Amino acid sequence: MKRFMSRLGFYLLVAAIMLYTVFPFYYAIVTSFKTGPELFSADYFPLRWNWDNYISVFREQSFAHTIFNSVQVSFAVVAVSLFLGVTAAFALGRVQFRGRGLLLLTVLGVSMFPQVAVLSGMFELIRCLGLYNHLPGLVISYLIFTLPFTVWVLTTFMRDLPKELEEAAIMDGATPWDIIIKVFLPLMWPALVTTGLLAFIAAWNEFLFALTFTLSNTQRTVPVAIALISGASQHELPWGNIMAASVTVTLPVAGLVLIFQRRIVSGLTAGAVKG
Amino acid sequence: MAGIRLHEVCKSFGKTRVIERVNLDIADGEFVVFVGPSGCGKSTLLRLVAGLEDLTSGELFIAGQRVNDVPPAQRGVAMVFQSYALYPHMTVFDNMAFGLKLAKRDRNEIKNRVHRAASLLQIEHLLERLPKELSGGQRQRTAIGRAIVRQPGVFLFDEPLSNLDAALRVQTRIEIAKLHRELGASMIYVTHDQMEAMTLADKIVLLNAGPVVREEGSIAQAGPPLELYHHPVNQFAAGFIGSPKMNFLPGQLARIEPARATVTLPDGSMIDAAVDATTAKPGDTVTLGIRPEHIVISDGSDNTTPVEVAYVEHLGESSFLYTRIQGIENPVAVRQESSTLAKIGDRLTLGLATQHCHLFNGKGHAFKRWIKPVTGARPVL
Amino acid sequence: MNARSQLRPSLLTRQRVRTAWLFLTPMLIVLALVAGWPLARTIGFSLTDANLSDLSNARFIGFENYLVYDSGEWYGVLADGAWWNAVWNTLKFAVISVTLETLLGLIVALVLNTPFKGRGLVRAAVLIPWAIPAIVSAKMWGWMLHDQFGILNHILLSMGLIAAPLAWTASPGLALTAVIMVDVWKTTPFMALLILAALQMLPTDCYEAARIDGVHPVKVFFKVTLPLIKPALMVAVIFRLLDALRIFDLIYVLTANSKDTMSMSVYARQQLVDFQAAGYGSAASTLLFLTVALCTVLYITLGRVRFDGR
Repeated sequence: MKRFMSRLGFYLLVAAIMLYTVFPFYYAIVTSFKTGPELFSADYFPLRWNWDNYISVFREQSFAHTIFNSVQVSFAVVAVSLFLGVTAAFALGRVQFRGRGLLLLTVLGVSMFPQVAVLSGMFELIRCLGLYNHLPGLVISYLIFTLPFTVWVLTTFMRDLPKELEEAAIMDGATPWDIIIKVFLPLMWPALVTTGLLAFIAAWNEFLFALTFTLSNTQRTVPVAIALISGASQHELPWGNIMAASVTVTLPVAGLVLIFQRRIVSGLTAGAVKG
Repeated sequence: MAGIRLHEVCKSFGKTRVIERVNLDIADGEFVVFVGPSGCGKSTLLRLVAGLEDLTSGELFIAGQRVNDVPPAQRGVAMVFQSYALYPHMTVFDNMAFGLKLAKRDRNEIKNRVHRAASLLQIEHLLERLPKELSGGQRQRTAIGRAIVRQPGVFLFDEPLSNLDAALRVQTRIEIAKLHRELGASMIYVTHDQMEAMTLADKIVLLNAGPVVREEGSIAQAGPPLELYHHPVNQFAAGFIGSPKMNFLPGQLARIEPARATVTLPDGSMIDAAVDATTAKPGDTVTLGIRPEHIVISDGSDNTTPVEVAYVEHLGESSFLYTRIQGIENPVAVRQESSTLAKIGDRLTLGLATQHCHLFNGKGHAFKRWIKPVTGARPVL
Repeated sequence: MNARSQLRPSLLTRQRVRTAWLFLTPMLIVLALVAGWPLARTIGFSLTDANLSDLSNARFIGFENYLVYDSGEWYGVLADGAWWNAVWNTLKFAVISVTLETLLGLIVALVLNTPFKGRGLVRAAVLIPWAIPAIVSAKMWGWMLHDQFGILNHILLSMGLIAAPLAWTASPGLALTAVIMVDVWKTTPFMALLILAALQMLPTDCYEAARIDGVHPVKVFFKVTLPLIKPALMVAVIFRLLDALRIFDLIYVLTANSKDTMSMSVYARQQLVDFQAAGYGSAASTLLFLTVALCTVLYITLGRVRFDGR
C-alpha cells in the first residue's frame, strides 16, 4: 500500500509539472481561437476552430514578412558565429599558448555584458555603418552574445577530440586548416548543430536590440512585432491576435526543441557545467 | 630507406627531464626496439623522431639530413599509433589515401599504392568499410597500411600489439617481422614487453627510468638481443631482459683470478663465476646473477648451494620451483621440466654453473663475462 | 641540472602558436568591434552630456552624470531615487527568482532523474517554457494575469481564495510578484536541466551502498546527493544570478514603465531612449555593467581560492 501511495504521489507530481509547464501555452492556443466577446469569458477548451485571428495577424500585421526577417537574421547570425567560433575554438581548445586562459575568461566575460551597457555605443556604431533600421545591423549586434557562447561551447567540444587523431593527420601532412575541415568538422557536426540551434534560438528571441535598432514595420523581427501589437485604443489590446501570433511563433521553435532536445541539453550543460 | 642518428638528444616537459643525452645510430633497414619500464620515455623518444614533440636540445638526423625543425610529414617517416587513430568518418581506402590526397598525388597513383599495401596486408576486401565495422586486428592492419602507403624510409610503431588479445598478438608479431623483411625499411618499435623486443629486434635500446637517468643518461644498453641477454651491462638490464627475471643473490668476493671470481653466499656456499673481477678486491659486496633456466638440480658439491622448496608453479610446458637459500630473503626461481616431482618442503641442492653466472659490483655494474662467443640463434623463451 | 630546460621553443611549436593566433584573430576583431568598442563608447558617453539625437556634440562633464553637488542639491544617477528603486527591484527580483528557480528546478531534476514511462515526453515538455521567446511568455502570462479576463483570477475566484479580481500587472504590490512568476516559469527548465546533468554524472555506487544499508531516501538526498552536486549547482546559481541582474525583456513587456518593477536595465534604457539622455543613460548602464563585473570577478577569485585550497 505504501508503495502504491508513493507511486501515486510521484505521478501526481509529474502531472503537476506537466500542467505547470504546458498550461500557459495551451491556454494561449485556446485563446487564439476566440474573437470578440468570447475573450471575456475564461474557457479551458477551445469553443470552436475559429481561424480569424490567425488570418488577421498575417494579413494586417504582415506577419509572414516579420517571420521572414527573423529567419534571415537568425540564420545569418548562426552562420557567422559558427564560422568564427570553429576556428577560434581550434586555437583555444587544442593549442597551448601564453594568454590562452586569459582569453577564454575574456570571452566568457563578454557574455556577461548587460545589453544596455553597450546600447549607446552600439547605437552609434550601427548608425555610423548606416545600418540603422536595417537587418544586417541586428546581425552585427547579436554577435555580442552568440559569439562568446559559441566559442565557449565549441572550445569544449574541440578539446575533447582525441589527440592521436590530430597527430595522425599531422603525420599525413595536414595543415591545421586541413585538420579542422577534413578531420574535425565531420566529427563535430553534432556540436555544430547544437551550438547553431542554441544561437538560433537566442537570436530569434532577442528583444532589446531589435526594439532599439529598428524603426519601421518592414524591418521588425518577431518578438518586437508581437510586443507592439496594438488595438484600436491604448487600452484595448487585441488579445486574440496576440495569442495567434504567439502560437504561430512558438510552434516551430517548440518543434525544433522537441526534435533536438537531447542535443540542446548536452549543449547547454557542456557550456555551463563543464565550463 | 634511411638511417637515423640521434646526437645528445634531451627532452624536458617543463621542469621534468624525460630524455637525457641519447646518442644512437640506427642503420638503414634496421629493426630497432625501444624498451623499458614505465616512465622511461620510450614513447617520447619515438615521438621525437616522428616530429610530434620538439627536441629540447640535441640533433636528429634522418637520411643524413638534420630534421630538428622539419615538420613530420616531410621527414620521410610514418607512424602506427597505439590506438590506431583511424579517421572514423572515412572508409579504409580513404584512411589510407588521406595523406596522398593531401599531397595532391595523381588519382591512379593513389589507387595503385593503396591497393598494393592492402594486398600486402590482406585487407583488400575491406577497403570500402568504415573503421567501426572492423575488428581490432583489421583496424591495426589499416593503420599499418596507412603508413606503408606513404613509402617512408622509417616506420614508427607505438606499442602496436598492446590492444590485441594474446593469440592475435603472437600472430601479428610474426606478420610485422615478415613485413620488415619484405619492405626492408628501418623500423623503430616501442614496447614494454621484453619478449616482443627479443623476438623482433635487430637492435634493442633499453631505456632507464627514475633518478639514474640523470646520472647515466636515458640509454641503459643498446645492442643485439643476444648481447643484452648474455652480456647485460648492469643489474637493471639483466633483470629486464628474460622472463622470468634473473635471480640475484647477494654475496661477498672471496677470491679473484683473471678468468674467474669466487663469491661467498650468505649461507656459506662458494660459487665460482666466469667473470673478470680484477678491478675489485676481495671482501667487496657483489651480486651474483643467474637465470632460472640455467640452474640445475645437482647432487655434486661444486658450485652448489642447499635450498628448501618454498613454492612450485606448474605451467604445463615447464615448472618453476621457488626455493629458499638460507640468509637470502628473496626466493630463487629454478626452471624445471614439467615432469618434476619436487614439492613444497623438499630439500634440494642447486647447481649454479660457472659459465652461466653473472656478477655485478656494489653499484650494479656487470663484470665482464668470459663465455663462448654467441651465435646468431635467439635464446629459447 | 641542465638550466637550458626553458629554451626558446622550437620552430614547429612556434609555427603552431602562430597559426593559433591567426585563427583567433577574426573572432577577436569581431568581438572587439561588437563588444569592446561599444562598451568603451558607452563608458565614454557616461562622462559627457550627450543627447541621443545629437551624439557628436557631446561635451565632457566628468562624473556629473554619476553624482554631483550643485546649488544645494545632489544630482546624478547615484542621487536619483528612481535609480535606487530600480536597484532594489532588481536585487529583490534576482534573489527571489533564482531561489525559486533553484528549488523548483531541483524538484523537476529529481523527478526527471527517476526512470518512468513517458519520461522523454516530460523532459521535452519541460524544455518548452525555456524555448519560447521571452516576449511571447510575457504576453501569454500577461493574458492569464489579466485583471478582468485573466484565467488566474478566474481560478482563484472560483476557488474562493480571493474576493475580487487582482490587478497583477498594474497594482504596485503585485507587479513584481507577477514578473517573478513568469521568470520562474520560464527559467526553471534551464536550472532543472543543469541540475539533471549534474545528477546524471554522479557515481551510482554511493547510492547502491546506501540502499543496501537501508538509509532513508531523504537522508540520502541531503547527505549524499546534495553535497556532490553542490559545485555544479553553485555554477548554475551564479550564472542565473548574473543573468537575473540584467533582466529587461520580461519587465518591459509585462509591466512597461511601472516603477515598481523597473529594473536597472529598464531604467537605463528609459533614460537613454525615452528621454534621449545618452550621457545620463550611459552612466546608468555603466553602473549596471560594473555591478555585474564586480560580481563576476568576486565569483572567479573566490572560486579560484576554493579550487587552490582543495
